[in-house]
Amino acid sequence: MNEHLSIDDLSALLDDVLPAASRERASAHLASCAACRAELEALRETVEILRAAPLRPLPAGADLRLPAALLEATPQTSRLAPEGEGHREAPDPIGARRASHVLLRLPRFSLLAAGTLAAAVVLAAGLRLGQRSMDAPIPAAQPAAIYVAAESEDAQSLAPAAAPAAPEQPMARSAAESAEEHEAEYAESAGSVAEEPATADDAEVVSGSAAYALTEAGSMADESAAGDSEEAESAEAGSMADESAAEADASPVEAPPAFEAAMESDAAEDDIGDVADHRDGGRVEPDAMLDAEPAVKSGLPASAGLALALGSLTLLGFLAFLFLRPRG
Amino acid sequence: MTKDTTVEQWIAAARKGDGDAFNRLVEHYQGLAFHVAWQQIRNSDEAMDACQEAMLSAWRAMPRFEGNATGFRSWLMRIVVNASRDRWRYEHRRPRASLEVERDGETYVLPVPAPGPSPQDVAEQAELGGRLEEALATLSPDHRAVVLLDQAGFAYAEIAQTLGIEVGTVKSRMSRARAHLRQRLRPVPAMEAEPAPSAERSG
Repeated sequence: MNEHLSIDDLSALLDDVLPAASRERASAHLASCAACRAELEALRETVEILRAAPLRPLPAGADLRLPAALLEATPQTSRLAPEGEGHREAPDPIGARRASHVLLRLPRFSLLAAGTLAAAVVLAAGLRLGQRSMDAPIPAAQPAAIYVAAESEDAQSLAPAAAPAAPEQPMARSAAESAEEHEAEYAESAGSVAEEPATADDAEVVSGSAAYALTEAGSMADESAAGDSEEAESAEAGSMADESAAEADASPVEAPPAFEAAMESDAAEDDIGDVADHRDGGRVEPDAMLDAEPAVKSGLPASAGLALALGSLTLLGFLAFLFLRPRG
Repeated sequence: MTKDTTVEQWIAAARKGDGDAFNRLVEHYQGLAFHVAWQQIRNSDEAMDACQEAMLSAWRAMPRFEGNATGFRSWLMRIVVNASRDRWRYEHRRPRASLEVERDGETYVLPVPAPGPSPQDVAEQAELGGRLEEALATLSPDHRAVVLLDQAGFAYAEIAQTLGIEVGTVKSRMSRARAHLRQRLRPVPAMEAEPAPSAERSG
């Protein structure tokens, strides 16, 4: 007894996608079943109506082609676009992807304004901090410097006894050289020599890092200035770069000698039996005195310097970001 | 009808970033794309928006496409179907217009009917000899998608690829959709015996 064909079978039969075995069985059934034949015919008619029906036309005037702007701003993983055809530039995968970021769609002016504002906020906060530390009864770095000087004096007072022993200048010089190489270490040593409250320590470290930050800011600015000289705005960046570069140059000159002096007097104190070191300590003393003043100066506005450095960094970062990002 | 080889040349160029070539492809397939989108959403404006989104997505994904002209048609229509579904779901989940009323610190959202055919759509529907359209409108979007791709000349395998379903699922949806349409378009003569297991009675 044949069962009637299912609608699935009938539909598949129309599209000729019924498996061979099922097709044979279906054919046999259709030959003997008028109802299924009628059903198949009705279905065929439906499909014909459906396939004959026109596709819904696009609304009048509608066009889905992408405007040139969208085509240009879209990332393409291949850079092999033929240049000669002249209808589009070679795609810039990184730039285009970055350009799709919402921040980058903002006009350059608002970005510049935002950057300047951010820099100003950092600067103002830093200056306020600096002001507060200046108001403190004892300036942070000053005692350290004085103490350093005093220590050097002690060293000197011990030095004369050893002075005739040997003028070992080369060794002293190499000590000074290595001192230059390891500024950070020495700054720490200077702090421990001073044995002042933590603030002294901090002040030294801060002025050191401020100088470092400025150096970095300078080099960053140089980079951004060099990267984009054609832009009118880059003149501004250039002058700023010069400024920070100048500052970056000035600060290390100011700060390190103080560290050096402190370090060397530290050595003098520790290795009191060593003749060469005593001489070294004695020799260094005038430098330490000379540098005490700059050290105090660079120590006092340390937080201000840091703020300035951070502010400049922020601003320069934004400028670099502005100039280095893809245009168009 | 543009030859597949021409389409494949456009595909190759578009993959390398040729925007003009991509727009040729858009031009070639936009009728089908709109038809597919419209059948899913049944609102011209929404369908156009969905198509535009889909074309942009396709352009962005173009370098990753691998295949021939037939594969491209399925791939593109799949993007269109997905964009249409997203839009359809979005529009049916949220009120079309913002009718939020704030009173006593509480926000009330007034229910707004989901978008149906616009008056223009209704007019066109009547013009196209609305019985088929009317019948199609009563299908679920899933069933309608299968039918309309068949209408556009897609093979079962292509439909499966386009909709991301199994060929077996295509077959069953196709037969149920057809049975439903058949009943709508041509009521079963009363005296004829019904073929046994059929989904048409449920419609």
